Amino acid sequence: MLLIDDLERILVRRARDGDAAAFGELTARHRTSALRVATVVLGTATGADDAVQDADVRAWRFRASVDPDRSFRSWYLRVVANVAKSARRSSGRRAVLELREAATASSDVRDPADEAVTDEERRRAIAAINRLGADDRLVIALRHFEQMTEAEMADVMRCAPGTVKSRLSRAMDRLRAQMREQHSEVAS
Amino acid sequence: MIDLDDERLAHVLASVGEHLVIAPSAVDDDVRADRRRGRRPLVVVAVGLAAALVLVVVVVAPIRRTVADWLGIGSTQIDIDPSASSAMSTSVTLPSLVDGVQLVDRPTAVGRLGRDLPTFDGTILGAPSGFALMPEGGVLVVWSDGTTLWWRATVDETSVLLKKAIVERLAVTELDGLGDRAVLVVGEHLLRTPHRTLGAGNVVLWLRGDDELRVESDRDGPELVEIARALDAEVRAAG
Repeated sequence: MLLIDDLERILVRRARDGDAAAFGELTARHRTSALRVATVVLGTATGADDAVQDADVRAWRFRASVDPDRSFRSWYLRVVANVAKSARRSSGRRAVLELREAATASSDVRDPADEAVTDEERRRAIAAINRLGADDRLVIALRHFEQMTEAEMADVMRCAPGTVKSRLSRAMDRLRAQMREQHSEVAS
Repeated sequence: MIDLDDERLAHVLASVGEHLVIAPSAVDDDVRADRRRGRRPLVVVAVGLAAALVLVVVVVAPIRRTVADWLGIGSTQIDIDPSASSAMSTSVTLPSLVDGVQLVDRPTAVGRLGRDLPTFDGTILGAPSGFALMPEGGVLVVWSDGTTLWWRATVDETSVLLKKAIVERLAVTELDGLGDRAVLVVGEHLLRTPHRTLGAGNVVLWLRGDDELRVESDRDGPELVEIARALDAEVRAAG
């Protein structure tokens, strides 16, 4: 029986050789993560699927640079993040961000302890994230939404793992500051 | 909620990730349908991606043979935009690559690039007259005749940094034997960066490893290509 990683490695090799079906299988596996990363970078779900489609085309173009022995997801999410950043720059947007909470979870895979997190906690966290810059949102999303390791994040962000650690630390500090500020605003 | 401990905050954030809206609403869809007719609904795209890519490969293959990488190279995207001609008709007001940049000394340029710079005195251009740090990244090498070499090291080729708007596809020619991949763009065109919109002339763009290089001059295409090859030889020798 093939392990998932083995299968992914095979798909990457086939995609590198020009197998479009294998490439489609690879990107489909990470579609939800790609949409989430694009949404976080853009600050809105609107346009996220366009960004992912553009990223698919760009990723296909540069498929030869994928290393079969490294994480395809990291490489693919780097392309998605780059394309989304470019789209955000081109549109010149956006003063107001609009990350929103879905009425139901976007994935069937649920953490059993998830029920313990209240809607209010999520709402406040999203409101604080919305006040952060795109780079802070991205590093938080990679770590906490995608559950990536620092090494995987370093691949996405094209920097050293130590840099990831400091960027994440600073982003989390700013997130906490925003949460405290919100609390002060509500209290006053 | 004010000061959650790290574990609790991580848990809340993981839950946010699960609950985040990652698909546009129906209203958004309507707006986008008006704006971008021809875009396929996401579900159709997901299901038909493989088939679409096969089609793309078949349809675009002749183009890929004609120009490098779908009219793009490295982090530079080349768009065919006939309306660029009207913008270029006012090119007298468009700045060029060197406008607004401040010349720096060689050690500063070396520091930005992260490696030593060749002397560049083995070409017909002679030694450069100065260096500048580009706001978009990398170093600009400037010669007294107006020729410039924009050298960006460790470029992430999966990102789009620069957009060239050209009037017609014939302006772009793929070049053999220069770096890993190279194109010549002939004629005036627009260069859009995250910071500026510039007027540009004849340009050779090429990739060597993680480096992206761009030489621009008012010399004609064949002569510019020869200069690019000579510059590339020095870049290669500098390692």
